[in-house]
This record gives sequence, C-alpha cells and structure tokens, in this order.
Amino acid sequence: MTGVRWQLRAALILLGGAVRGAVQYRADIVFTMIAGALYNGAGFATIWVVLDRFEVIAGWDIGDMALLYGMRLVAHGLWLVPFNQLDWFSDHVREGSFDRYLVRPASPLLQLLTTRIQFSPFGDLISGLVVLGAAMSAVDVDWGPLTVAYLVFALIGGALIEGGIQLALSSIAFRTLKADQVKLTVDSVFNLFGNYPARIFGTAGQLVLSVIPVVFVAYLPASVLLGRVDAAGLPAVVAWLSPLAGVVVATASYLVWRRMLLGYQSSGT
Amino acid sequence: MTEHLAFMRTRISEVLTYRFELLFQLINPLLQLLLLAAVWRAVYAGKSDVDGVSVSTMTTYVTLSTLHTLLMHDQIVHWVEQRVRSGAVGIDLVRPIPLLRQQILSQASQVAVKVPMMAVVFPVAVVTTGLVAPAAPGLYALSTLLGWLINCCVLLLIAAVAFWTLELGGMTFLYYVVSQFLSGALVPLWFMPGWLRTAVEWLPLQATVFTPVAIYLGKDGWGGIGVQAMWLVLLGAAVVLVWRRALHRVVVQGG
Amino acid sequence: MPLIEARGLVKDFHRPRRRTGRFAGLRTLVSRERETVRAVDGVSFSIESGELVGYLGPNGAGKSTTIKMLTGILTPTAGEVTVAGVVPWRKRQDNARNIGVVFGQRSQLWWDLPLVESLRLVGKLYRMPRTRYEENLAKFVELLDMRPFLDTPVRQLSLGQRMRGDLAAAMIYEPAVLYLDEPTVGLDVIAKERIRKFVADLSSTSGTTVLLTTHDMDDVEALCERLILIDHGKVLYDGTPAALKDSYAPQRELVVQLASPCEVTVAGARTVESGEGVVRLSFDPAETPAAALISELFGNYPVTDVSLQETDLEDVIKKIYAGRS
Ligand SMILES: Nc1ncnc2c1ncn2[C@@H]1O[C@H](COP(=O)(O)OP(=O)(O)OP(=O)(O)O)[C@@H](O)[C@H]1O
Ligand SMILES: [Mg+2]
Repeated sequence: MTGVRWQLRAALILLGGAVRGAVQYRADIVFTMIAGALYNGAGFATIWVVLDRFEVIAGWDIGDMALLYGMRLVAHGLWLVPFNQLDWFSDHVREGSFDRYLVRPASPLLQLLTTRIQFSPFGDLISGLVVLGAAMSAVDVDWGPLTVAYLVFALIGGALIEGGIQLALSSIAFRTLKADQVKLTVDSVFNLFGNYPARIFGTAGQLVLSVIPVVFVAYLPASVLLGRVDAAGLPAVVAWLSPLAGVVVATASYLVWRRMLLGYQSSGT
Repeated sequence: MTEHLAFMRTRISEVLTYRFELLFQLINPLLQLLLLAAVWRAVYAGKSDVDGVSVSTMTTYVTLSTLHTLLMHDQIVHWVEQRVRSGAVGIDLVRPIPLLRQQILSQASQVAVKVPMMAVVFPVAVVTTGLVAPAAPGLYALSTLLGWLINCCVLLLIAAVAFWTLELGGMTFLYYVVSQFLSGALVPLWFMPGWLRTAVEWLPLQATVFTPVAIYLGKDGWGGIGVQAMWLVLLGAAVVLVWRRALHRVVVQGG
Repeated sequence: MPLIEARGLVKDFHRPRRRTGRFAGLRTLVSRERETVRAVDGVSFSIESGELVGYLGPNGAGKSTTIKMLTGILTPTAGEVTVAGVVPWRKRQDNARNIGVVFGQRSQLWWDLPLVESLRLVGKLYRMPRTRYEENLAKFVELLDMRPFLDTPVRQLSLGQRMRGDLAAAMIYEPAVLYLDEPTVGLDVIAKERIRKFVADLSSTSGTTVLLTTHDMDDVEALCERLILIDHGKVLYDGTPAALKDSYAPQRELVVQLASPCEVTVAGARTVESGEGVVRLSFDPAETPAAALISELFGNYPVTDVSLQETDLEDVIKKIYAGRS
C-alpha cells in the first residue's frame, strides 16, 4: 500500500485536485510563464552580446555556449516543474501546516509537491528547450541515437542534481525552521555559474564548482558532447559519467530529507 | 526639517528590521561580480586592450556597476503597492509631509542603510576584481547623484501604476530583469552591437548606471551629465504629473 | 490487546535560545545553543477498541503534543506508542489508514476546492469503494447538515461549517480511531450540539474509538465514559468522570427550602450558605448517607423541599487546576 505504484496513483489523485484549484487563477498563468522566459532570455542575451563582440570565451563559441545554456536551463526547468512547491516548504514547517501531509496515506514529499500547480517553471522549461533546440543545429555534433540518448540522460541527471541539492537544503528547515536564504543563494550560484565553462573561474573556482557540484549539471556533459573533455581538472571518465552524479546526489538527498523529517516539531498552535 | 528627519528615522528602522535579509542580499551582487570579472578576463584572453578598453578598465567597470546596481535596488515600489492596496495610503496623505516627498525621503532612507552595506562589499570587490583611480571624481559624484535621482523617478512612475491597478504582480520582477540589461549593469554600452547600443542610448536607464561609471573611467564627461539632466527634468515632470493624478484618484475614490 | 497503547511517552521540544541586546538576531542564528521544553513527560495509558476518552488538561499541558505523537506527526523523544499494532511515526502511511484526525485550529481540507471535491479526494486517497463512499457521503451530509455548503470552496466556509466538513473528511473512510483536538472551539451552542451528537452516534453505531481533547466540560459530560487528565506532561488521573468527582470533590450539596427562616445544624453536614428560608448544606455521602440526612432534616425542621445537587465537572476541574503547583 505504500509502494511506488500507489504513490504514483496518489500523485495523480492529488494533482487532479491541484489542477481544479488552479483554474481560478487562469489570468496569472500566461503572465508568469512569460516572466520566467524573459528572465532567462536576459541571461542568454548577456552571453550573446558579449560573444557578438568577442566570438569565443575559453574556446566556446556562441553555438557551444547556447548548448551549455540550453542544457542547464532545461535541467533547471525539469526539476522546477515538479519541485517548485519546495519554495513554500519552510513556511509549512514554521506554521505547522506540514502536519496534514503526515496524516494522509501518501508520501509527505509527494503531497507537498502536488499541493499547487505553478506555471512559471514551464516558462523556464520552454525557453530552455528553445535555446537547446537552436543550439543543437548550430553546434558541430553528430546527433545520432547515442549522442541524443547521452543528452537526455545528462538533462535528467542535471535536473536530479539541482533538485537533490535544493531538497537537502530545504530539509534543514525541519531543524532551523528557515532555509530560504541559503536555498536562494545556492540557486543563484547554479543559475549564474552553471552557464559558463568552468575553466574561466580558475583552479580554485573549478574546485568549488565541482564540489557544489555545479559543473556536473551541464558543463561536463556539454563538453563531452562537444568532444572536448578538458573537464574542470577532473579525470575524463568523471566527465563521461557525469549524468550518474544526479542519481547519487538525489538518492543521498532523499535519505537526508527522510532523516530530517523525524526531527519535525510541528508548531505550538 | 525635524519632521523630515523623524520620518527618515522611522523608515530606516523599518528597513533595519530586515537587516538579516539585507545581508543576504549582498551575496547575489558579489556572485554576479565574481562571474562578470571572470567572464571579461576570459574573453580578453590575455589581450591588454580591445577597442581602446583595457582589462583593468573592464574589471573596474564590473566593480562599480555592481555597486551602482545595489544602490538602485529599492523597496519603494513594493511599499507603495502595499500602502495603496491596504488603503493605508489614506493615512500617509494626512501626514504633514506631502506624499511624494515622503517617497523620496523613503528612498533616501534606504540609501542610508545601503551605504554601510556597500562598505562591506567594496573591499571584497576591489580585491577580487580590481579598481583603477577615478578620472574625474567630482563629476563622478555629481553623475552618481543624478543617476540615483533618475532611478527614483523611474521607480516612482512604476509604483504609481498601483494607484490604478492596485497590484503590480510580476511587473517589478520584469523591470528588475530588463533594467539590469538596459542600465549597462551587465554589459557596457561600448561592447553592445551598434543597433542595440543606439536603442539603449535613447532610453533613460543607461543614465542610472552606465553614465556615472563611464565618467569615472574617463569615457564620458559633461556630455553625459547633460543627458542625465535632461532625463531628470523630463522624468521628474512626469512623476509630478502622474502622482498628482494618482492623488486625485485617491481623494475622489477614498483610496 | 488494547487499540491504542502509550508507554512512558516523552516529547522534548528544542528551540534556539533567544539572545537579547546587541546583534540579537545574528547571535541567535549563529549560536548553536538550544533550550529544551519537555511537553510530554512519561505518559502511559491504554485505550480499548470502542472507548470514548476525554483527554483533558490546562493550556500547555501537552494534550496536542500527545495527539501528534499518536498520529505520527511527531517522533517521540522516548517511550513507546502503538495504534492498532502500528508504530505511528515509523509507519506513517499505514497508520494514516487507521486513523482520522481533526484539529479544531487548522483545517485539513483543500482550501481552493469546493467541500465536496475535498471529500472526493479523501475518498480516493483512502481507496474507498465507490458505492461505500456514496453511502457514507449521503449519511454524513444528512447527519452534519452539510447540503447548503457542499459546493462552496472551503476558504469561504464559516468556522462551524468548516469544522463539520473536517469531521466528515476525517470519518468518511471509516477509520477505527478518531482523534479530535478541540473540535468545538469557537462554535455556537447549536453547532457544538450537532458535533457532539455526531460523535456520540459514531461511537455507538460504528464502534469508533475516540480520543477527544476539549476545554468545554459540556463536551465531556455529554460524551466521555473515561477521562485522562494531564498536567505538565504527566497523567494526573485516569478513570470515569464519576470516580473523578468522588475522589476530587467527595462533598455533595443539599439545598433545603424552609417554611420559616431558622438556624440549621445537623451532624455530618456543614452549612455553606443560609438565608431567606434557603440553606445549602455540604456533606460527604460516604460518611453521611443522603437518605439519613434528609430524614433527620424532615424530623427536626420545617422543611418544604430538598434537592440534591449534581457535582459539576467544571467545578471539579477548576479545583484541580487551581490546586496545581
Ligand atoms: N512545535 C513546538 N515547538 C516548541 N514548543 C512547543 C511546540 N508545540 C508545543 N510546544 C510546547 O509544549 C507544551 C505543550 O503544548 P501542547 O500544544 O501540547 O499543549 P496543549 O495541552 O495542547 O495546550 P492547549 O490546551 O493550549 O491546546 C507547551 O509548553 C508548548 O509551548
Ligand atoms: Mg492543544
């Protein structure tokens, strides 16, 4: 009764409720999606303007950079679409409204994620797909079944890394009641530094970004696809296996979450 | 004068209630700073000079534009929106200080809080990215003041929309995104493609960040000040007009 | 084997020690120092299937904390708890299928959905067979008089309507155990009455085991066959309301109407109040049987009427709370 099949069915039931609740805010849907897309557009515009004048950055031209940017953004969108409700998680913990997820017969995390439907993440995902699509025809990569499969795994792996890190950081709130600022800051690091070849940040920078581990989201797999496994000072095999990093990070994070959940204190009122 | 000071004092303590969040707000500009400095160093790729702009000029540009952007970030739009929506703007109206002047004092209060914050960022910025000496300190100070005033005007115009729509939704967020680009905070105008540069030059936002920093670097002078003054007059007049109509709305409709 | 069993339950809460003075906010955040509050301190009880138990105590006694441990919301610091053979915090989802919970302060319903949609979602989450669900829904709509607001979004319901909705949502899947944490708080007399009737009905017809916390002694008088009284996280009393009255307030009162005012002195009874032809006597029925007292009164005084007062639970509880450390 608590198996994976039941959890998926419960997710569908709860999503049904969330969709019905969301219909009331239809006007907001389009606007938030556009806002999400524009925000990412501005990020890419910077790269584009710089490269319009300078052509390459650390050997990456505009097509390569678009591939990197697109992969990172799709990975970002892929985790944000299902996991955006984590943004409200520490509020639930602080106010004790997380209680309700603990007395229903479905995974508390799954119930949290299906509380409401948010539309701005779809803006991220769509704009990511647009950039990635354009980049795929611009770069010098032979897109066969193998490379496409690698790309897909890399995107899922990247999503699992970002999502896993955010989940682990969120679960701090079970103890401290607050984790928003830390989460936002780490999210900024991914959003800013994940879009550039890690080599430009020097040895210390690369080390930090490998540990966090920003480079595994898109930079390493993109450099594998582009056939330049110069990888942030890491062995080439690490770059090749980077999509697996997501599975490791996500599993570890889920265990952390489960552990921290036992320390949930509810609220006095 | 004393009531102005008292007003500012309460505003400052309001801002300071969120001092912890404010400290975290410093992290983002710092990250941006590190990123941009690395990007420029990488694209220069060892060249000492591109289009007559040296690497040290570019890193100084990054340091200063980050600080200026921090100075421009302001809660005023959010405040006005809240006051209008809750109807508390009616209370503000009967205060001894005119409503519009209250808003400008609010913005000045935020600067008072932000200056010590910048004292934290500044040394870090200088160490990590670098800074050359100013070409014209006096002119730079004047230009900074004008840039700040222009930014105040733009924010007040956006905030005024709340009087009609009651909420600004994602508009502030969109403005934040667009302004980063159009103010020159991310890329200086001299490295923009021609058509984009022309478009940006015709907009007021470049006068908030790009102009003062360019003057600091000796890439602009009295000409830039002139453009800033023109924008200030135009936008200032627009603010006065729009806010007069907004107040009229509040008085007629009772908020 | 009892349905609910708690043995030596303890719950400590940790809160960051608040700093005061300069940079208080920052120092609170940086320091790892935490203070511990023991909300539940070694509570043991066992509840058999079908019992309706009142769980009472003053504010901050640890009632809600205990219920949260029984529901699996909180992990106990020490001690053991099983509900229908399941350790709640270890197997939350299994436990969830056995229990219904209503917190008077906070709704468990979907805020944006009409009430009937919320109930439907609950039915599906608990895998109710369709016909059974429809039957129960019809029955609850009837019993709780929910028809007028069945299609109203939960956010627009009044407190009393919402509470009825929450009760229905907690019971529609027929759990064996129902926890009610202050279900009548803030409700008017009629609404309270309706909820009491619903709970009494459930307990007698479906044999649902109910654990109820409340500050309203009328709830207790109307419903509970058994009381567990706690304070400072410790059990003070566990037994029937009658035995509680007997042990904490053994004195009963007799009101005597007299034809003409006069001084009344009887052995084994104390005069509490006298005047205008009415005298209130207090006595201990264990020492002086009421019958003996009454016949003595009729023999010696111009008595027109006597009435024996029921001991008020409210007064008993008040006395216990007042006498605590
Ligand atoms: N989440 C929490 N964090 C810290 N302390 C808590 C928390 N919940 C309860 N407490 C403390 O534990 C003690 C018991 O609280 P509890 O809510 O169990 O009392 P209660 O008996 O339900 O009281 P009431 O009648 O007021 O509802 C109180 O001192 C309370 O301050
Ligand atoms: Mg309580």
